Amino acid sequence: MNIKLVLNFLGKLFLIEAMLMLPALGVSIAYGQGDAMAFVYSIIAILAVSLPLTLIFRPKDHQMYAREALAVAGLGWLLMSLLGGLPLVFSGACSFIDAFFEITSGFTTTGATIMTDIESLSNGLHFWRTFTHWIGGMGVLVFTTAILPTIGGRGAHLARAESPGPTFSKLTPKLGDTAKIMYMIYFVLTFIEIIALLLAGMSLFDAVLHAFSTAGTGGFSNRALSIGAFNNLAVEIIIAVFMFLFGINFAVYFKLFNRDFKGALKNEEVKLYSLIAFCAILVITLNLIPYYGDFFTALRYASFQVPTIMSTTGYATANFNLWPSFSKMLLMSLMLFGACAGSTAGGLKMTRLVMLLKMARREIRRAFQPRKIQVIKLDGKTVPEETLAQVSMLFFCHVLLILVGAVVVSLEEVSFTTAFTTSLTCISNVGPGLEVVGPIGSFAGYSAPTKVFLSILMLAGRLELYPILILFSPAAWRRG
Amino acid sequence: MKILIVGCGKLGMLLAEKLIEEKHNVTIIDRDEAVLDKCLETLDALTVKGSGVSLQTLQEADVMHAEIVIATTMSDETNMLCSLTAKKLGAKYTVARIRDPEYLDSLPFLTKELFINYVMNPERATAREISRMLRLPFAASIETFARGLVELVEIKATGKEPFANIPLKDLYRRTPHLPHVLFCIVERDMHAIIPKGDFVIRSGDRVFVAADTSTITAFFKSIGMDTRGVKDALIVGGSRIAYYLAQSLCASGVDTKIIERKIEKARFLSEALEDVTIIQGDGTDYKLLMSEGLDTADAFIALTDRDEENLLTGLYAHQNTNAKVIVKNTRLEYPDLLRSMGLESIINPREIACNIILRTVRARKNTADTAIERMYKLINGKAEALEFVVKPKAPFIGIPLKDLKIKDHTLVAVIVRNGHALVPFGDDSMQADDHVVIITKETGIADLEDVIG
Repeated sequence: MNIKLVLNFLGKLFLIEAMLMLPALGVSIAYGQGDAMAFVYSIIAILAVSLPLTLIFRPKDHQMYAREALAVAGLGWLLMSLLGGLPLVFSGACSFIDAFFEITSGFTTTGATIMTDIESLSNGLHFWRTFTHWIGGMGVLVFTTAILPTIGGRGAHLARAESPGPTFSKLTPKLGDTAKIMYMIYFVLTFIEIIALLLAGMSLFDAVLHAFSTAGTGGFSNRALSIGAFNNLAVEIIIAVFMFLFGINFAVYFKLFNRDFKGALKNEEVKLYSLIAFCAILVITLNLIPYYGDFFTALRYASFQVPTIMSTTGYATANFNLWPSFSKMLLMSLMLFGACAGSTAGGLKMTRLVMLLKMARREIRRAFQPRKIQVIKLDGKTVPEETLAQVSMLFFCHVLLILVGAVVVSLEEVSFTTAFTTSLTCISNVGPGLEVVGPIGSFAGYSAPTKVFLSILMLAGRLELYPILILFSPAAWRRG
Repeated sequence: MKILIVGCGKLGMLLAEKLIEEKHNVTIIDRDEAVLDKCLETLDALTVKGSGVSLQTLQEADVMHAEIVIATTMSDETNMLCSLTAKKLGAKYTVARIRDPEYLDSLPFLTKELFINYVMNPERATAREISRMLRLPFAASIETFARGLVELVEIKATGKEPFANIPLKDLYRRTPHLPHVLFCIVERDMHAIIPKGDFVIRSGDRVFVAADTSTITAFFKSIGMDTRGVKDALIVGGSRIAYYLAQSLCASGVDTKIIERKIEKARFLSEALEDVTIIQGDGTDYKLLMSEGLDTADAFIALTDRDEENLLTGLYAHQNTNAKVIVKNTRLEYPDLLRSMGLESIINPREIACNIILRTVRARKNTADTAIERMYKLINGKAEALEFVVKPKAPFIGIPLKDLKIKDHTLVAVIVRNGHALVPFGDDSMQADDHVVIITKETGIADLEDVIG
């Protein structure tokens, strides 16, 4: 492991984090709610960590190999969350552990909160919380790579370590250009959503906050009742649509932008994503008719709750904890796979579901036609057996981690449902679960060690295990 | 520029690396997933899995918008087809690696029919480089035009040459037997001058002369500059480079001997190269080398497929004879080590090929959207040598050069017709499909019509 390179890169990463805190500082100065100094101290503290790292550690070899990239991703995200929690600590809003959980939840775009009285937070802190969603949604490592000349194109491993999905596909020959296009799409979509929310009657501050949160598919809101607090049908529709859109692979938007409509429509993952969303809305609506009494109310709540869960955003317009069991079960099942690879969403990703379904079909065929040679294709291209093996393995590890997580959380003497959905929602980066951690609940009741454990689960879910696993692997840190 | 590399072997990889360093957008096509994975790890390039002749693969790699397509797969045929397909799909410029000697004769025809803009033959280029080192060791630089038929040789005048200190127009009057070359351009006191008939070359001038390869050699020989006078060359290893090298050495009258271990190869070489002595035997056997006249050879060239053998025999020859020793070494890492052991002339085919393509790409960058086939910057960019193809309906076809109005500071240096180069005089004229090399001090020339009115 080239430890010098890792530390040097981390230093640069924190420098960027300090810069990203400046807008929040601006907001808090503008609103004058007395939390500006908390941001100033935080920025100074982050710089105090960042500058020595960059200045002291000067690597000779700038090539990022897989090990270094995984370590940078794992350590980087962990430490960024720790440092990112500082404003909450300095302003006295919560303890250090709580701040770590809250900002991890922010960067991993989970949206689970330990705040019990959210609306009492200052606007500056609200801005920073949702801004971490927006940063974490697209990821910072690729962003850092794109703007750092020394890393330049050598960040392929970093991009792979940070970007969700089984494979990382570049859109252009240069990694930096791909990153620029991705961020451009992200900026433009976010901007359109802000405008739409303004037109629907939201205040500028609320619109920006919720657009950031939707874009990163996070789920933080400055209202205790989440989007339900606005009770505005137009807002619900806009946010539901954008949550769905941010769950689509950004490569599709790139193709649309390049007028490659055929290529965009060919995407099997997006097709399955849309199909599942449509079917889920339909059956949940039917299931909810007796509960709400009329079709349109049922449709209104179903068609918001389904995209919020599938895109792993975690907003709520209804307390689905009170819904019929069928609807609850279906929503929790949707959490497992989330939305598309190459989007800002969490979960195992639809593309893996497509591959797993095809593998299942292949094995069933093999049972009665053992000599048939079967290759698995995705979007018309053969998927290498190696990728399929990785997908199966990741699926297994992911499910195993959910079970382990549920077992650990159950030490807290909570119900089975609470323990299980806590683990599931954290790893899938959704936010709300059921019962205690339901849409109007909070994670505040958990003890400090559990909060740290859950933070690690969120990071493992966001980075798809390996970057976090490498932190616990002594072999990876050895020289050579 | 958007550049497509089809086939990522050792040359492809090296090229990709260098092109990315020069900030080009590189897309790599290969059929081997493992190779592509390696590319992604070390290179900032886009990779596409598939065959370079597949329409779908090429389209996926966005060949339609590619400025240059470089086909470097293992197979010559694939490279040709790939160039053709790429060109038909909209690629602007194609480079194909074609290395089989069997295609040599049909190349002019093939490249025209298959729309290959540039044929890269690493072995032939290497052979040419070696032969240059043997033939014109005094030349500061040699550029080639018209697929290697025409050479532009740069020398530094000492003032003692027969062409110095007299007006150029008197040169051939005084020495009528001197082979005809063209004095294209002279650099004096940091200025580029296109010499006219009354120009006098002085000591210290950098002079560029152009003509076809054998004329150039004959010219320098007859003015007594061919001081090294390689008359006897011994080549170890009957590789393709050896084949091309022996061919060109023979053409310039050098006694050439190739030692090749494999009997079939030796037999093939003996059939193909009638004037070359082919010895079947182990080239690392010093007794054999000595018995085949190593001690009397003027040049010893080690070209086997194994670097180690080349180095050992090269060192042996270096220490025991006075011959000029040239060895082939395919690894880029060792040249300094070898130089410290006394081996000065080390040749790396991959590096040569890579540099030639890089030069083509750089020139292409300056000549995109023009009719220029090839371009060289001369004298630090103060002058340019440009190669054009005469269009079938050009207005100046068939008109003697002396009757054409040609811009100042511009010179028609060479005309290549049907594979033969000629240095034109006033009575010669251009024909359709001729390749024409012009030397000019003007910049921004895009087509022949710009200089000939």
